[in-house]
This record gives sequence, C-alpha cells and structure tokens, in this order.
Amino acid sequence: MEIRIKHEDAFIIEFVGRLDTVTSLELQKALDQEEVKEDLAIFDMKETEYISSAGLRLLLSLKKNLTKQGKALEIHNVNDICKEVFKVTGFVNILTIK
Amino acid sequence: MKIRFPIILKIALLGLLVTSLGSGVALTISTLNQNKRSEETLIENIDKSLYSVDYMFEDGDNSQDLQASLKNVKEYIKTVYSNPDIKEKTLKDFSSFEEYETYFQERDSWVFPPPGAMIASPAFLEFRKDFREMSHILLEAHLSSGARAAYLCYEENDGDKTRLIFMDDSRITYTGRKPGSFYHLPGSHYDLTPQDTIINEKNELYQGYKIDSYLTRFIELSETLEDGTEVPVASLFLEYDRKEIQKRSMDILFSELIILGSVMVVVIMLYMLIAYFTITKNLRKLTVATDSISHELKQANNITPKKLEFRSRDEIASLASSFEVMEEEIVNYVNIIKKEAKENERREAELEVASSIQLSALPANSYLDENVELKAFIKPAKVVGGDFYDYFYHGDKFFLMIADVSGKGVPAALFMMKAKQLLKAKITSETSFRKAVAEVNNELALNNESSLFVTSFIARIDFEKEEICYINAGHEKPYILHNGEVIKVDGTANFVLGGMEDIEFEEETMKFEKGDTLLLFTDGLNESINSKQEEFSYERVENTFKESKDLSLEEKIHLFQQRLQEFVQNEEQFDDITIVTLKREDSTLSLRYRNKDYQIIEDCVNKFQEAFPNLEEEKKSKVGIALDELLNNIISYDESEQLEIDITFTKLQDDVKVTISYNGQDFNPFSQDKEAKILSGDEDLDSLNPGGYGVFLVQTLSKSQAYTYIKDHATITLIF
Repeated sequence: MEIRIKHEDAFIIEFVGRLDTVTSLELQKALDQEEVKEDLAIFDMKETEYISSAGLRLLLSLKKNLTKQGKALEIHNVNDICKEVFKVTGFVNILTIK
Repeated sequence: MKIRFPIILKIALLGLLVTSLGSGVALTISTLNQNKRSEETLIENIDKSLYSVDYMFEDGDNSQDLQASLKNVKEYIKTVYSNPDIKEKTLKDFSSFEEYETYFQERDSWVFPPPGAMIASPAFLEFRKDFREMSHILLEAHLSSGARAAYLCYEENDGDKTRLIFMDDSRITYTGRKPGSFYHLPGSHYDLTPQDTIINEKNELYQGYKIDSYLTRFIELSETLEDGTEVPVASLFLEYDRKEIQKRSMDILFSELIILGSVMVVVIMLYMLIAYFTITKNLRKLTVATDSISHELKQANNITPKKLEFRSRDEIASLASSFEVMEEEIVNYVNIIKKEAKENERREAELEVASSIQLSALPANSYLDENVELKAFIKPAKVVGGDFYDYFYHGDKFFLMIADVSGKGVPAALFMMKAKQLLKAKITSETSFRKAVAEVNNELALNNESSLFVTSFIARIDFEKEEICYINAGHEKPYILHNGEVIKVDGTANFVLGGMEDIEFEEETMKFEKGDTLLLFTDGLNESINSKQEEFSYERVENTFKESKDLSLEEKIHLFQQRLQEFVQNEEQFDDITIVTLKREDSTLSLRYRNKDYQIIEDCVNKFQEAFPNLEEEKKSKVGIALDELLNNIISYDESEQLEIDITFTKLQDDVKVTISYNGQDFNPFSQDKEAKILSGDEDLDSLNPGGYGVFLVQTLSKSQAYTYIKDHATITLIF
C-alpha cells in the first residue's frame, strides 16, 4: 500500500494497493493530517487494486467533509472492479467518477 | 420366605378342632345323663329315708313314744305359735338373727336349745326330751338321704290358703345356730303360693313341693288311733336343691373337660412330633436344598446337585425325587450357560481384537495432497467385516479401490486381508494394470475351498491426463460428480475376483477432471433396507450425491449417513457399509489462522494471489473484497476464547471456491435478502450513514454463497 498526496491545482490523493479494512484506517489517518485548500479534490484510483466497504465508507466521509467546505471530489482512473463496486452500491450516483 | 403358618400346625389345629368338637358333644350328653341319674338316685335315697322314718314312727318299737313326743312338741309349738305376738313373725321381720332370737326368748317361746348350751325357757325344759328325740331322727334322715335339709312341719289350712308351720329343722342340729346360716326356726311359717306346685304325684306317699329351685319331698307322719284311723301329726320334709345337683354335675364336666383337654394336648404334641418326622422334616430338607441351590446360583459358585435321602415313599418323597432330577437339569444347564458365556466373552474379545486389527489394516479415512482429497467411511455390520478400501500412489498414478468380500465375519475378514495385500502387492509390482488384477484373481481363486470371492472396483487415476482407468470386478458402479451433474461410471462388468482362475479383466477409461468427485460404495449402502423391506437403492445414492454437490467431502459423507439413517430408521444393519469419496483438486490452498488480528486479512489475500497467479485479475479482486468483508466481520464479532479460522481456496476449472470455516456463533450472513442499499444520489449526504455494504458486496460479487453450521463450526463457501 502506498498513499501519495499532492497539492497541485487540485488536492490529489493517489492510493496504491487494496483499499480495505486495514488500509482505509491508514488512509484516514493520513487524510486527517492534511488540509485541503484547493477547491477540487481528486481521488486517483489508477493503482488501486480494489475497494471494499471500508473504502466506500472512507470515500463517503471524505465527500461529506468536502461538500461541507463547498469543495468538489472527483474519482479518477477507476478500474473495472472498483467501477462495479461503485455501481452495485449506487455510489456512482453520489460520487463524481471520471 | 418366612413360614408363618406351618402345615403341621394347620393339621394339628384341624385335628384339635374336630376332636374337641366330638368329645365336647359326647361329654355334654353323658353329663346330662349323669345329671338326670344323680337326681334320680337322690330322690330314691330321700324316699327311702322318708319311708324309714315313717316306719319308725308308725310301726317301730318306739312308735308310741315317738308319736307322743311329736304330739307334745306339736302342742308346744302350737301353743307358742298361737301366741299372737309371734304368730305372724318370720325371720324376715327382723333386722338380724340375734334380734330374732332375742324376741322369741323374751316371750318365753324359745323352743330349741343351741347345742352345748342349755339355755332354755322353763316351758321348754318339759319337752326337751321329746324334742331331742325328734331332732335326732330328723338329722339322721337328712344325713342318710343326702338331702340338704330335713324338717318337720304341720299344715294349717285357712280357707284355700295352706300354711306350713315349722317344728324342727335338721340343720339346727347339724350346724348349730349360727348367724348367717339359714334354717326354719320352730314356730316360723311358710305360706305355700300357687307357684309352689306339688310334684311327683304318682306316689301318694311321696309327694313334694317345688319351691323356687328347691324341691322337697315329704311324708305325713300319722298317729294310729285305737279305732284304727290314722290322724296326721306332722309332715317330714326332705329338701334338695336342683341347681346344686346341676352345679355338681357341671363341676364334674369341667374337670373332665380339663382332663380331656390335657390328654388332647399331649396327643396333638405327639401327633406333631410324628408329623414333623414324617412330613415337615422332609419338606424342610427340600427347602434347605432349594435355598442352597439358589444361593449358589446367586454366588455363581460351582453348583453341585444335592442328594436328598428319603426313607418314606409318600408324595413328598416323590416330589423330592422330581426335585433332584430338576436340580440336576438346572445345574447342568447353568454350567453349560456359564461355559458358553465364557466362550462368548472370549470370542467377542477376539473379534474385537480382530476388528481393530482389520481397521488398522485400512488406510486413514482421510487423505489430502495437492492432487486429491479423500474421505472414507466404513461401518461393519458384524464386529469384523468383509468390506475394505485402499489407496496409494504408484509412480505418479493414484490407485483407489473398494471391495466387498462375500460372506461376513471372520472368514470374510481374513479373505479381505488377503485380497487387500495381494492387490497392493500386484499393482505396485506389475506394470500392466489388467495383468495385476488378473494375477490377484488367480491367487485368490487358488485353493479357495470356502468359495469366497470379492467384488471390487479398482481405479487408477492419471492426474496429467485428467482421467481414470478402472476395472470393475462385479462391483457396484460408482458415480462421478462433474460440474454439479452425477455421471455413472459404467462399462464392462467383469467377473468377481477369486471366483474363477484365468479370467481376463477389461479396463475402461473415463474423464476425471479437476474438481470432479468420485463416489465409491459397497452394496451395504444401496441395499440397506427399511422396515418396509425397501432398498435404499441406486436412485437414492445418486440423488444424495447430487444433493451434496456443494458440500465438502466430509459433509458429503455426513449427508449420506444422515439420509441413510432417515431411511432405515431402527432397522438393523445387516451388511457392511463403506463409502469412499475422492475429489480431484488441482490447486488448493489451505490457510490456518489462530490469532485474532486484522493483519490476517492482508496475509490471506497475499497468499491467495500468490497461489493462483493465473487467475483473472477481476476474480482475484472479487475474492479479495469478499475476504476483507467476511474476515473483518468474523474477527469483529468473535467471542471465542481462541479464534480458529481455516480458509481453503480451490480452483474449479474456471471458478474459484473459497471455504472459510471458523468457530463462531451460528449466524448465516446470507440469511437476509440482498438489501436495497443501492444509493440513488437523492440521499441527503449528511444523514447518510453508510454500513452493511460488506455482506451485500460479497453476495453481489460472488457467483454463489453457502453457509453451514456443523459442530460449533460455521462454514461459508463462496464460488467466484
């Protein structure tokens, strides 16, 4: 697992590995230390192997926080399996997936 | 049993009753007779005395003097009696005897001197001589007759009333005048009442009165005048008490009864003594003998028949001789039973040893390697059975066989051992499968005097070619479970092994692919019968096998046992039952976790991905997600002291089967329908509290889900 956080035009989170019970906690810890100044946050799942329900909860919580601050969240480079997960759970309807 | 009423006592009591009744009746009759007799004798004596006094008075030598004396006395009494002061007095008018005496004495009316004390009134002295003479005659009549009293009196008739006026009473002379003794004082009187009837009228001379229970007999003493006429002077009464006679008779009766009773007691005791020696003693002998036999039976000692010696030839002796015969029979029988029981015990112990030897000769009922998984079940009908199975590798081929020896028990078991060893020896030494089986057949057929034979199914599994090569020697056709479908392993039906020498055996080949399961069984399974004599049948075997398609091998065998039990119920198992399941597995990964740690999830996913490198990425991810969700739940909800998780991954052609077994609560995560948690995007984000996606994701991403709970272990089986 690897977490890469970049502050560029947008606040970029690159998650490498499986976004599951254990890694979600670590990602959450990492995010808690960051301050999102940018208007847009991008969660890049290019190297994310898969996402479990723990990951979904994290994304939902992230989306809630950003929305409160009037900021947007985009999910990028979603692989097939993650796409399926988002689809079957209806997360496609909440998240902005590009 | 304690004897409370011995026969001897009963017989004695009966005897006593009968004899006492008889003698009682006899005695009473004789007593009554005697009673009558003694009364008659008394009356006779009385009458004699009366007559003798009468004779003395009227015709005796002194009759003149006696008559004169009596007349004088009568005159004197009359004089005294006519004194109105005393005329109406009787003893009843006085409170005591002394008062009575004093009364008469004071009035110079004392007529009789007490013996030895000559106190008398002057008027009396003149008649003393006369009086004494009369008194002596009276006493003599009293004593000689046996009457209780004799007295003289004269009658006074006043109209229809008759009054007796007493002149003398023998009891005064006999007992003396004593207070409390009763007698008729001279001058006292008694008025006859209508109840005082005259009895014994048959003889004019001896008439009598019955006064209460007293009976009197009397005679009139008369003076003969010169002209020959007789003038009555007085009457002599002799009195006796009828009750007294009866009482005397009764006393005699009682004393006789007592004597009779004592005699009877002695007789009865003698009788009992005799009965004891002739009957009871023998019966007691019998009782003692029976008791000792039953005691010995209880103690399980060596039993020896008891000789009963009887000298008598009665029914008891005959019973005793029957008893002796019976006793001997019992003893023989018991000894035989004991011997047999011992023999049986020994035989059973031997059979148990044989059984354990036999079972130990069979390979383990569970086997697992990277190619195959095997589970076997054997249940002998008798302690040692004729069924067996065996499996081993020879080169890179896996050999599996099942066999059923004809017959049961020890002979079948011995033949089975021989067959099993031969099969393994020949197969591992021969290159040709067919030839090996043919040689086994020849060996078994040789010198097979008991004509035993073996039905057998022998399979050689080639993992590379994914096929089995088999020879079916008269055995039940096995089944293969392929992709959820049950296929019969059909083909040439060869002759049984050991039945005949020099037979050719045809071998067949069939596909046996990864994930396929082979089911071997003996006829004990399909021919098990229920109470309606119906067989379990091939059909039920096939159906049960199909029903078990998603179950593990252990669960498959468990299901067979369950279905069989439901079918046969309480019917006795009459044949050995053997079931062998073998599963062809290519890639299997088994993981064991005993620590409660979320890190095992990552470890598990990593190991899975390493073990199945050629799996599509999507499947790998789905398995990974499912593992994450399920293991997370299992660990979170674990309440056990020591969490045990066993995970098995199996490649089934294109699919992957994941089995997670853990010692948790019995909770089926898939019991609820897939909930509609699919978000629509219209939800208010703030109120959205995500959760419960885990199981939903597992259900959505996997092809099938199964949950079982056996022996405190939950097992989740997923197919991807």
